[in-house]
Amino acid sequence: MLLKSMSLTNFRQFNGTQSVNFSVDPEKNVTVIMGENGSGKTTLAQAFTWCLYGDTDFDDQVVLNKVVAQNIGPNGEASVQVKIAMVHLGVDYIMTREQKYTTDSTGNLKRPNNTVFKIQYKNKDGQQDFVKESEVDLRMKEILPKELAKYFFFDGERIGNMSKEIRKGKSKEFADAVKSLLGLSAFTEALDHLGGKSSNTVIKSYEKDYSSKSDSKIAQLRDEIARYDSRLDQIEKRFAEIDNEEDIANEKAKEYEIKIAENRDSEKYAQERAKLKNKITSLEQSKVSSTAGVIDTFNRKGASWMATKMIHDALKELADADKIDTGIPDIHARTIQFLINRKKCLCGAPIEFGGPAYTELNKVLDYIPPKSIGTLIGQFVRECELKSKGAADAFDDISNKFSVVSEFDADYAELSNQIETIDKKLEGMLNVGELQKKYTFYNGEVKKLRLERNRLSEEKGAIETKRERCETSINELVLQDENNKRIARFKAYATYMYKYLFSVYKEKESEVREQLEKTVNSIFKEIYNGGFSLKLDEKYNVQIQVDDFDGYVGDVETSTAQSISVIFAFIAGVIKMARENNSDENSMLMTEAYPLVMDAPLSAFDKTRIKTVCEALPKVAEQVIIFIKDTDGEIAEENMGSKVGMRYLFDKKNEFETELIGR
Amino acid sequence: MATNEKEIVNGIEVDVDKAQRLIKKVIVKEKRNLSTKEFGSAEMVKKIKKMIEEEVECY
Repeated sequence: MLLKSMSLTNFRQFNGTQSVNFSVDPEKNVTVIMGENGSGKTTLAQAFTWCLYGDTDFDDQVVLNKVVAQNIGPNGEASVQVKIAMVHLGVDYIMTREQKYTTDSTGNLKRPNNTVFKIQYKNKDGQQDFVKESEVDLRMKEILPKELAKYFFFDGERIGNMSKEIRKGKSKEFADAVKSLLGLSAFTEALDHLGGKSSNTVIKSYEKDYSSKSDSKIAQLRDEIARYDSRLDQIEKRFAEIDNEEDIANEKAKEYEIKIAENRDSEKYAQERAKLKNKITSLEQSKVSSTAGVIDTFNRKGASWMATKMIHDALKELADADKIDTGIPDIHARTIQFLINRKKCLCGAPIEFGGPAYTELNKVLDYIPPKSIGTLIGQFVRECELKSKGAADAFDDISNKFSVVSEFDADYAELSNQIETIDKKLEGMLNVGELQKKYTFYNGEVKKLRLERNRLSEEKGAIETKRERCETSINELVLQDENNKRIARFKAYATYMYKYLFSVYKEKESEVREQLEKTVNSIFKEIYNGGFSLKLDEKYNVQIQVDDFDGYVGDVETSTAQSISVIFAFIAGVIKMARENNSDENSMLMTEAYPLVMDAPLSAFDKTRIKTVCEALPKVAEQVIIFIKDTDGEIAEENMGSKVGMRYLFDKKNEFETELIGR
Repeated sequence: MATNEKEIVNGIEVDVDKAQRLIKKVIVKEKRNLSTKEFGSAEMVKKIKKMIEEEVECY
């Protein structure tokens, strides 16, 4: 594929129709388009993807020039068109995409309909013809698949995503697209036509050609085979899904494994924080119980303790007062009252009311219990002694408990500080327990998927055996009929061809991949002079490996300059191989050279690398088109001046208008 | 150079030289069709069948 020219009509900054011709001279295969920031370099680069695939990366999806949009007026219309002329596999093509915009009665743009994409080509009679509308997308996919287009229409400023993409997680479509660019498409087409998955292949068509008139068993066996094929198809589809799901689950598990390792300390901190929180809780409980203890002791013993001195003084005074009890020991008032009521003394003498014995006995009542003062004093003394004894440890008790309460504040503040420090450390860290749950979940998913794959593999094996038996039976039966025998011979050749081509294809594919790895590495070493080399896996994922560390396996994090070099090397490698395969007419491989269209490709490089990139690219690519800012452009021209065939300059008139001027 | 090598496929003898010639022809046809896009899949299947039948029946 060689780009001949592009013309833009009202596409964003490009008011009216403006054209640019690209250099197709093999000796001077570079076209440099230079301009200051904001002049339209990216717009022009995006015009390629808009024209070929209808996509742009712009936030503003309206591609109509703003000046034109403003001048349409009410109920008017204007069109945006991008036309690209190219040669692909010797055929001249013109790709055109057009978008019509209309305005409402107030002059505002209405939501536009879908774009119209047309592919015009010169047919074998040299006449201009159009690819059918229903086939334009398919034809575009054959010329340059969208999966790969972004690598050929290369945007240096969006390098981060591309670098990640090129290194992992590429789809089967990407691998297929690379294989096709590397020239394996004639093989894949032949394989598809001979015995692919479609219902119309040479082999399946011969099976349908068998006449079942001679034997109804053939039809029955064919039905059985069709059923097996349908199940095998389902299994194959599920295999692809399982691969995809397993990749995702593995990636997730890995992601959580890394997060767990990163957050491992959070577990330790969380445990420490829990311990401290427990301490705070017991401290708080101890404060509450000590405060309650102080109050309780005070309530119970406070009065006694405060009265200790008075009790002491009172007891001393009582002891000194010598208050002799005048009562009769062990005689109670009830005893005297009994004697008075009996009217007879203990000695037998009568006690007469108002008599001297009666009067004497009534006097005694004042000195014996319950009225006896001595007894009261005795009781008072006993109580005083009890109270003094009880209050003896009240001071120590209250002091101890109060010291716990007063220490609480200091301890509490210390523990709170420690918790705060841990909280700060834990900020931004993730909960390892949660991460572990997710890690276990995704690992479980991987195991489930593996089990499912094993089960399906067994089922597939069993079905294939049954299918083979049916085939053998058919093969035996058809030989009994002359016409079927003839068809069976053709089918046997087709089967042989399919199997042979398949094994050759596998061999070639792996050879081509190895060759691509070598080519990519040689270009990478030329561009990026570091101790790294690149490895390609079966899906064409690129891994960067450190050369100087034997035994180190795994990918390496790279800088922007390294990443951009990897992408350059990969694309340039594919382009170089495509070009080399193309020059060999007898090769079974069939490829086409592709151009490199690059927007701001050098901004991530230093001067030395710009020089090496500028020298390497025109050598490996059939055609190079660079959109570049003025300062980088001067260095680029200095380094590949002899290779530059066409030069353009963006002349920025204002924010909405830029003109392209040849230099 | 002909080798007269034979291979049995589904109980039927296949002349390896003929089959190899056919493979080359099919690849050339596919390569050409990739550039010209002259034929669709169904037509290519018919063409390959015709090529096989002509080659196999030619003694």
